[in-house]
Amino acid sequence: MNLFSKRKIKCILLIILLSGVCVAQSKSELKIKIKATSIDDRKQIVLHAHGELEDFYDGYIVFPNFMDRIQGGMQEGGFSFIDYTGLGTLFENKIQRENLAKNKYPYGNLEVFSNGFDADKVLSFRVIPEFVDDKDDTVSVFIKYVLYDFEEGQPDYFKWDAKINLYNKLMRMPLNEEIPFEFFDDKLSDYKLSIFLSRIERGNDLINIKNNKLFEGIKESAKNCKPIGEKFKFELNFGKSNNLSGDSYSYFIGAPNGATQSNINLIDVESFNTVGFDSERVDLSNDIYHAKITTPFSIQNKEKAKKYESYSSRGKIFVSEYNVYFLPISIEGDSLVGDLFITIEKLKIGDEIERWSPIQKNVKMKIIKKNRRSITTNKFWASLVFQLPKENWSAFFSRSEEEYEIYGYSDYERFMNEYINIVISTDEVEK
Amino acid sequence: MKKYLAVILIVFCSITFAQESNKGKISFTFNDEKIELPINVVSLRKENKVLISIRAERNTETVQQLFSLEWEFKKLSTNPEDLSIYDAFLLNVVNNSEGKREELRFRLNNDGKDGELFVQKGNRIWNLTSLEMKFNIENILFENSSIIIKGNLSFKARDKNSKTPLKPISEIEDCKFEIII
Repeated sequence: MNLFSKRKIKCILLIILLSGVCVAQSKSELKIKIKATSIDDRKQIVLHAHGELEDFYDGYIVFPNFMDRIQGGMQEGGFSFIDYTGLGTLFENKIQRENLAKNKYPYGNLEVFSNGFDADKVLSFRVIPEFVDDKDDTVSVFIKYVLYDFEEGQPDYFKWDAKINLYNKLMRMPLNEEIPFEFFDDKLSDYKLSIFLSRIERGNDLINIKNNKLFEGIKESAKNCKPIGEKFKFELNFGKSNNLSGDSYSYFIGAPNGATQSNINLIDVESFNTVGFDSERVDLSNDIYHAKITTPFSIQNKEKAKKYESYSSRGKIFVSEYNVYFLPISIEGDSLVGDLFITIEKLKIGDEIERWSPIQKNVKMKIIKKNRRSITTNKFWASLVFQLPKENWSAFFSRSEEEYEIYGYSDYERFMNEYINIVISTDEVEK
Repeated sequence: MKKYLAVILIVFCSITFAQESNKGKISFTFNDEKIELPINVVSLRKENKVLISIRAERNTETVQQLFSLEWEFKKLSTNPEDLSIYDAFLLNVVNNSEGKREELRFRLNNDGKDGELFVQKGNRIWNLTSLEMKFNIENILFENSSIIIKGNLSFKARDKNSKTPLKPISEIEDCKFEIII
């Protein structure tokens, strides 16, 4: 009997041990992305957060009245709908902060939302995902959101007023698919909202590369990677200037691990620790940063611009997409060394024909360490400006029986200069 | 009346033909499918060497056909010895239609020291192990202030891991081009 009991105990211990190993191996994390885009695709914010499966996420989006930029933020839950630090000295008291974290003041923060922002509407939300099991490819999502709709015609910001609506929504949504927030449409008709949830295995945060050549390039670079051990903040600005008219457009500001903001055009920034192509996978010692930039394409040949103005297919085709990948390789002395990869699609022709050459460049960025007297909160900061090369490409095609004849260099490249500016930094660790 | 109609028809046909072939044309059989394309872009550049580039494309929602060639050689001549591969060579042929996707891409850089040989058929991408190529300029004419270059090309790419290793995975046959500059 005793022997049986000992065996039984051993079996139980073994089962517990194996279960522990299995659980540890299959420990998953959640990636959440909430996107708000104006219906004319000229303004966008993408909010990113990354955490445990059981976490919930709080965020806010400020839709502007006149300005071009949407403001917002999202983080793991516990800060009501906004960061408590935004409330200044009001919540320095620990009990007040705890109450705030418990969402005790859901309506009390209007002044924060409006202060310094040109707010037309403010959306604050909490997203609570619930998984049934680890293999489930759908997730139940409970979304609680408040919409602050500011009254029109109130130039005096000291006397503002807002309509406040609180909503609750329970939905079951597929993973790895961008799902529109259709239920916002009547209140936010000028914007499209969507939510994307993805469950990732810890240590297997994957970005799939569609271009074989690009994948091979990243695979080669990965061999040279020396672990840096820092989670960087990666920001990207994209600029265009017309060298005849002098018009210049500095479009984008990106900030992952939080919010990605853009005025006028679209940008989306994320980081990953694994890259894949077909069934092949490469684990990276340092995270790779990916920014997708979408901007309208403007043909500079005036005659053609006039001709294509009436084309119904033009809207979908005259869109440029730039995918920028940055892989930090090592820190050498006072410089950050990395590989920069850029794929370019000046027009959305949708034929998968290679017209624009991908760019691969090894870069060395001087690190500027934090000056104690400086007001910056960055521990270190490195920046790079890269002028995109001009290419002699061409595209002759017809869509919806409308004929296009575009000579890339003479109709666009010789007039326009394009550059990207990337900024890599790390925040000062709070003590 | 019939005479007038005939004249109008002849004039109309000439204009249409002239528009379609003002930079030349190219015809070839790519993986057993016969393709004829008007050349959209052609350029001839002379520095230390001669760089010729041609691009012919037909591209609608349902059919995408492309022939693109860049070749740098010693001098513009019909002598095959002047047509060796120098610093730049690029050949790209695409034939997509009704769900079929076929692409051949061959690129050489730095005097043939590095490059790329790529074939896609449907969803399959082949790693090719050998190729054969023939490129000739047959005739160079100067007519009405234009340079007319006539030539031909053939290309065979093989993969030893194929079930039929002697049969080309991708093939360009009877490729004839007439470039008008």
